Amino acid sequence: MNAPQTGRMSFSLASTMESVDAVEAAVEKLAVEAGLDEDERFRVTMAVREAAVNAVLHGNEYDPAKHIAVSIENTGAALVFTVADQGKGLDPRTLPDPLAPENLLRGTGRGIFLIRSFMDEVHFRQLHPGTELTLVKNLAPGGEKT
Amino acid sequence: MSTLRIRSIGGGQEPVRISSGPGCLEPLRHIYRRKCYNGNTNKEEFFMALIIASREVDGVTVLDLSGRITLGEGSVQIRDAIRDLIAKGQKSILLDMGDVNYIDSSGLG
Repeated sequence: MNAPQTGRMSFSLASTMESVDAVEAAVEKLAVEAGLDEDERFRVTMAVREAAVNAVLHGNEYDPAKHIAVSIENTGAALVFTVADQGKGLDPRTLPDPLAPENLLRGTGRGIFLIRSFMDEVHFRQLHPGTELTLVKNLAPGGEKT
Repeated sequence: MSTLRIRSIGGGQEPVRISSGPGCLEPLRHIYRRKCYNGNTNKEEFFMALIIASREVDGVTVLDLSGRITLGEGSVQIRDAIRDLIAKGQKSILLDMGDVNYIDSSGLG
């Protein structure tokens, strides 16, 4: 997949880890072209990867009949990513706090926390069926990260 | 020269089989590779996702980890490696993560 320097691209991908890798590669390329430094590229790429993993693993549960829909966009003011699955839906208010003492040693439950930590905006939208996450990383006017 | 044990991790992942040479003495080594975009070279390249090398130091099994620990790649293999060691009775295990350059939420878990 090739990412645009500006503009928007959308993909419909199978519910596989290979799709997650493809999304990660496209996001990395978009982040490079947007002028993000290595640290910011790492944060953005990991955040979108976590969203894609959630869509494949928790949303679609690797169901070959379901797809994930991904869009990546450089608006000039921000990098905007959407990741949607066709799963049962997710209410973010029900997610346990990974920083709570009783959750510190849990093997899962940190993905959304990392996404929120690394991005400037995170929005959830309920689909029928599924969940769509929108992730935003603001850019400085010159294309540099704010 | 002996062939090192390599595990494939399934669909789309190409197992890499190498042979040990004079400078490669690790008795256990798992290597995974993945093709992804390299922002530094501006092209897609194969990356070694995770290498696990095992060695013994004064009764302690040291697992030298190198690469990425992510869902479906490193995290499961590390758990497997540790469970294998525990099943064999080894209770002194040290993870050397000095060469780990990427950990996702699954790897943290």
